[in-house]
Amino acid sequence: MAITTLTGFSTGAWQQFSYAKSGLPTASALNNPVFLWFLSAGTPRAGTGASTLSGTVIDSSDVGAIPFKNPSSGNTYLSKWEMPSPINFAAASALLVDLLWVSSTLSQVTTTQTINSITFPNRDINGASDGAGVYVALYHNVTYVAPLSAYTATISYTNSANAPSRTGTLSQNGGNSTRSYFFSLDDGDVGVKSIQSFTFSALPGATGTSLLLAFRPIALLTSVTGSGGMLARESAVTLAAPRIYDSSALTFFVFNATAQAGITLSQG
Amino acid sequence: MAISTIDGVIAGFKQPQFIWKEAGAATLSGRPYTPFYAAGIPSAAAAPTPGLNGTALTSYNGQIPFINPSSGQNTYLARFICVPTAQAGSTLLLDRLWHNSGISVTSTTAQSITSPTFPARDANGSTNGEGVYLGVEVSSATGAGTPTITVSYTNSDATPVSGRTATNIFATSASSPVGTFYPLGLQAGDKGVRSVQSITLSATWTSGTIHLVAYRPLVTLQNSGVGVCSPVDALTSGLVRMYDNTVPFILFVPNTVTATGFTGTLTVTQG
Repeated sequence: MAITTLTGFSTGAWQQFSYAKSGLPTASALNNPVFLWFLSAGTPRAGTGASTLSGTVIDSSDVGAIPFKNPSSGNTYLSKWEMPSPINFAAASALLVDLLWVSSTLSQVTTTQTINSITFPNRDINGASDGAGVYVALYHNVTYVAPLSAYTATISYTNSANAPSRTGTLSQNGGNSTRSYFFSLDDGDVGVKSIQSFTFSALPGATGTSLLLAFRPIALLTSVTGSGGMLARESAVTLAAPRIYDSSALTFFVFNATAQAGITLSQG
Repeated sequence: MAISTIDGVIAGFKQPQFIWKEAGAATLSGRPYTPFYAAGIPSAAAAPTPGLNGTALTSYNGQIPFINPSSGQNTYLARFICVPTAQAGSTLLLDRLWHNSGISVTSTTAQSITSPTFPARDANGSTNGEGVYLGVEVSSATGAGTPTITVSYTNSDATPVSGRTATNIFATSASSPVGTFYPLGLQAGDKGVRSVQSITLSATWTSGTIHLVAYRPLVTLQNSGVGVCSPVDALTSGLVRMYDNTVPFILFVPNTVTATGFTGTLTVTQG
């Protein structure tokens, strides 16, 4: 049963989690977020990738995910989110996502690599596997070292309307470890159902590696800046209580440097 | 049926739509910029090609996705957050009602336009045009020249008055880049635009592609610094109505000149 009243958020079962990671790169950029899943220092511990390019489905039981439990009945919603200012007091935002799928490390070649992703879980924006509201990122899991090169990366994908041979693109000038880059989707597309292939136009650096992620954005929060001890906090009403589907693998993209957050989930 | 209680707002929450736009061209302090044509999520919009008379819009590739409610229900804004990556400013969420193409940027005579009836999405959900404004949007960078833009329109009064004049609020610039958006100020006393009759440039803009856009502002966010946003929810936005077939897109009023990307979400409630 869905929560449909304000009272429902207070009477439903609660689960609260604290999240804290260190070791973020100081040079993280506001439009190219750090992905915290693979960072080892903190809580939860670092998550793992996949062993094949076709990838693996990720869920709440995987190491790296916030370990929430599915409700005994009913639905789960994000009902509170707190985030202190980062240590350097710079502006920061965090994007709470459900990580659906990851690939193994891509080969560092400029030829097309076949992906043929396995079926994503039933956790798109509608709780289905069609891919609506599901997006793809390229994640640099090993730092690229100089000389860095400008490159374009493309994916061939099937969109959430089941149209194949769509093209997602990103263009960058090399990248740092733990940085991630979102793919722009093809004209009019609103999500990715599956990925068929990946191509680098040039290698981002002399050495370094990347992998692919598929995720569903759940909520975005910005920090309060200007001095220490500031805290951003939002409630079920202000967050519009986004749905957390059963077995969601909750983690964060961070825009700029911050790594602490607390979230509360309400179930009913 | 209208939503009239907090519980009604909660019961109608839908899932958020994600926004992530790459930085486009450099901006100019105070001059609005739209990432409509920038790569990202949603995908870059293609430059419209409906001709001078334009087309009324019920959807357009590049818009933030919007799904109509079930029959008999209304849609309201429930949460909007949009973070600029490179500078402070303010971010507006707009409903795109009409746009055109085919405007000569070298002609200095009046170019006639017979706009079709705008969609019934003005401030009151009608076609009268109250709360509907005009802007000139650049989809291909302009060349030399700083023309004054004059648009002849019919206003939204109960007894509509034609021959009204709108002009650009901010001075135009030579080499205005893609995404530049010049809002037009209405004639004194007018509350909106029902239809458009002509556009005139006072001087050549030499090259480039521009469009007239009719839009309804829905809400404005404060971005007090780089990477900062004061989001709005159903209550702080005033439970603003989003009529069926709304075509949401964003407009950013920058503080400085730095090319800027955006990250955000848009959530509605329906009931």
